[in-house]
Amino acid sequence: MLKLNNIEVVYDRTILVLHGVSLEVPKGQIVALLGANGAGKSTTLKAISGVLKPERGEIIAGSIDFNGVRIDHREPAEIVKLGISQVMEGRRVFEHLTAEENLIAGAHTRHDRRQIRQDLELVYGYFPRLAERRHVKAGYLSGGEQQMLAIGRGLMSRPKLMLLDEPSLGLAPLLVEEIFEIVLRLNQEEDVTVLLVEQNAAMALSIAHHGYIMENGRIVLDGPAEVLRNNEDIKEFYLGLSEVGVRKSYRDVKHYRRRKRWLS
Amino acid sequence: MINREAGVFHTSYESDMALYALPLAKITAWGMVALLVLLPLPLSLLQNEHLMSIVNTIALAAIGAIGLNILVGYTGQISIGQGAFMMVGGYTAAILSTRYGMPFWVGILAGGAMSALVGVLFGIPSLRIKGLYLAIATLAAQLIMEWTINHVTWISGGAQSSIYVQNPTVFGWELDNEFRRYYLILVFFLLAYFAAQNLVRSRVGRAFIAIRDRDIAAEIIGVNIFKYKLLAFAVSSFYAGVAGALWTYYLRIANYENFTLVVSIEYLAMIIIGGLGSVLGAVLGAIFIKLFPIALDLTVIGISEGIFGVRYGAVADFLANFQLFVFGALIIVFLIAEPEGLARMWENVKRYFRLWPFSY
Amino acid sequence: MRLRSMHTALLVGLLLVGLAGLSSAFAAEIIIGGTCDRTGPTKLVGTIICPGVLDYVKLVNKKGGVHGNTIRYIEVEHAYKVDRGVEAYERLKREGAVALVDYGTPIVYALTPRHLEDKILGITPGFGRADATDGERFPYIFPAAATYWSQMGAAMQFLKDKGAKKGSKIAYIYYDNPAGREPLPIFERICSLEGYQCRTFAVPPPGVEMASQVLDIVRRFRADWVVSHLFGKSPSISIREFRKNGYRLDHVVSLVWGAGEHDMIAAGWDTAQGYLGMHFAGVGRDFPIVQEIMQMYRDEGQEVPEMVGTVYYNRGILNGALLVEAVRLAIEKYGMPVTGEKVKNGFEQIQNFSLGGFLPPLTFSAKDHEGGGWVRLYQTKGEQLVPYTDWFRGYRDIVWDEIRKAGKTAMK
Repeated sequence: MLKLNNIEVVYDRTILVLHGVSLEVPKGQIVALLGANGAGKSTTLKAISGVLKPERGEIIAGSIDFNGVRIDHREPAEIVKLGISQVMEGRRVFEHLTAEENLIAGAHTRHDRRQIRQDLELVYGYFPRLAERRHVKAGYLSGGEQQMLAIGRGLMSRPKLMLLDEPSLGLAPLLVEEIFEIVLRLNQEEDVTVLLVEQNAAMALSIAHHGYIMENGRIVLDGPAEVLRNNEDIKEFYLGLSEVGVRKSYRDVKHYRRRKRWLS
Repeated sequence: MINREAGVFHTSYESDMALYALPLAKITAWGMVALLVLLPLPLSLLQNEHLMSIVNTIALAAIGAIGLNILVGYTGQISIGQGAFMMVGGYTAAILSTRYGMPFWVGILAGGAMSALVGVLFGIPSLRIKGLYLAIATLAAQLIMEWTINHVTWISGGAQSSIYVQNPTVFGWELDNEFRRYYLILVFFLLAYFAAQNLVRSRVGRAFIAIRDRDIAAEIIGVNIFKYKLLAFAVSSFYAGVAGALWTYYLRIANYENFTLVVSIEYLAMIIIGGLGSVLGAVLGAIFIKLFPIALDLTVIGISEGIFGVRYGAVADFLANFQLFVFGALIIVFLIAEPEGLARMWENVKRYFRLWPFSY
Repeated sequence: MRLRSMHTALLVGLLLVGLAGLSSAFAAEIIIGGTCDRTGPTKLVGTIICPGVLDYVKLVNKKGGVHGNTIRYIEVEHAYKVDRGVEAYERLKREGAVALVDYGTPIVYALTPRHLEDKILGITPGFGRADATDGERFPYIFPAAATYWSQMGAAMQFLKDKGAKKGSKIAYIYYDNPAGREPLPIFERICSLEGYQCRTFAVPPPGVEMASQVLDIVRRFRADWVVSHLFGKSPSISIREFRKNGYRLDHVVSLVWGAGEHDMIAAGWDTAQGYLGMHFAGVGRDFPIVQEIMQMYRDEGQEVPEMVGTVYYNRGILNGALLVEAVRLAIEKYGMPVTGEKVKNGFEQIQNFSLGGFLPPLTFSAKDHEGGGWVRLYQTKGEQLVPYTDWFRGYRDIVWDEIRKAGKTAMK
């Protein structure tokens, strides 16, 4: 469905952030994009949804295909209309609008009121808490509610593909679980394809079909989620486990660090 | 300032914090200063007071613009009262030197101090309001100062609201032409420039920037917002006051009509075009706003008379408005090309050359 | 990067062309200069005054110049900004100008010290301060036309001639800026001298709101006469307000910046009927000098612009005529080459210069740089300004006393 082919992104014409990233998101799947801070995950998402410009970024090589249409160098509004919707990191709800107004604003590119109404109910179905607080200003919602609102707002444009940027940021583990379950349900029931960027690798890999690992602006490893879950390197560096299911104890920490296999 | 910075790596905190990253940078900075000091030589050989006067007005404007940038660009407090603070400095200097016979440097420093005081007073609203609301509050400063100077004859010295002053004398030298006046202005310009460069890298400067970027976060880390906002107003007004006093000695008259609302807005334009939050930007903005209209005027006249053989007088209305149009268009073009101002443009050029010729 | 290098190239290009234009000064002419505001806040006035100067100088050159020497008049735009005014002055100085027409009160203030230092004469008709009349204090500054003090003196003389007596109520409505306040001391002195009942009414800038002041003047104070000193948009608004309150407009005397044609157009000619305006140069086309300029246009096969003969255009002629006359006298008495000092001395010897009734009989001396303080009232009738009085002046003793007082208290 979405295909990135050797994308290179430069900020300010001087800082090369993505050194040729290729990845593929098949229809109907959840794909996780994992990596440490500064690996280039968010930049990849921004390159897809076309919002690099305000940050002085530019795609200088490669191509992005969405259902066979090239979408690099297109305006963000066009990309949304094609069916890609991004839920940005850190929520970014419209604080002075109510929850419901936020959702309706999410349907900005659509004009069929009846359908929008239906979708609103759909979102409330997935996020009952938003239904309760529909007339509260978004600024007064809790962090978890705001994250739900952000995802709900993303849904309102009826996307074929959703780009989720760190939905677990700053949320309690229970809430994170709740949100991930909803993402999974959306994927299964509404047939929304998801590209998920996460720090919480364990969580992400638990719902994803496929995973990509990024480091320093490159994809260093990819594979089906269960394969990655069992990869020794991933366990060591991303899941914080030395043996499956066993939490690492500092008493056992070796004096040398494990070397990432992909660096050799 | 203008040297290449490729391959500069810092190995100690001292070198990282240094004003000049490289010995070469220090040399170029001193070179620039030397250039500025020697600038009148060729001009005086050519007896070109005209060019000197243009440089003088730019340098004067730059001092005011640096001051405004400390307040608006670094601390994030919008002010359209720059003219008012310059006014205070100008009249203070004029009163001190005519009525109390003080030497010019006392007038200039006292002008700055008085203006800082008034600035703090009008900065008090900034503790409760921000952004456009604060802008309107500083607009009130402008109007109140204009009114006061207009109506309190003790300050303005009579119905004309203007006070003539004598030329300053330094060691028996009367500053009675553009070249001599230049040195007076240059000394204060250099002091203003390097003081600001250092201020913004200090504890105080970081507090200013913290307030601008996220005032609540600044408060959380222990920045006393009350103190630092007022300090920003004080420093900025001090600069404005010094600039106003220098204007007074430069024109030999203190007249509030030199510092009207239009002037305040012009200074705001300087720092926006030059680059908010950049000392160099304030200077570049001053050059842009002050030099371009004159350069355009000369160019248009030159083209009209030199190429088309039409005397300016015959088509003056058209040419005068044409320049205005071009100037406006230039501002827009520059802002679109680089919304963050001339200083950022300069940064980009430098950054480009840091990687040159192996850039992306 | 391409865009950026283009910018630099453009800037360098601009400067080079500019400098080239700068150095192309001609030496064989007598150069006089003038500053102007064609794009700033006073462009309505500037775009009419400045062509007046240009046309007059052109006419002089057409007729063979001054004793065979061509005069080159260079105009520089400053948009009513002080720093550009200084630049304009320095540019004209560099071009070799021996005398200048200064435009704009704040610019005149700022340039006065430079004129005195550089010994370049500057005339400031209608601008600048009244105490610059004193040629001993301001040797190189010539107000060259009735100052605000003289205008006030003349206005009060007119009221007296019209029958104002002890106890008459006189209102002074003025724009609240230095120029507006300048005539106050003269007004107050004459009021107490003649025993009038006087009151002043300030209109705060920007002077678009004065309903309450006019109502006060008409209803509460019930003024017999009004002296009005307003600028910009405010004269037309005052005319409308006085008319609305049923006040007789032929009892309103406006000083020189409140009675141009565009003020009448803005107020409406019908509304302005009877309004009295003061002028220091003739108004209209019925003067030999204006006819000559019109002929010059026709000879060139051009249409005569509408502005020829209007209030401000004619003031432009006055500016040009006085400078040329001063240059003529300088050449006659002191010979070529002309310098600023010679022009100043020439200026001080102008006697009864009136251009065939176009101007009052202007006479200058080393002490009097004003020319006598003559004015003339014109009345709005139909769509014209018609003469209402002949050239006259008044209360010269009080005006001169104020000038002397200003000289004494002035901080040198």
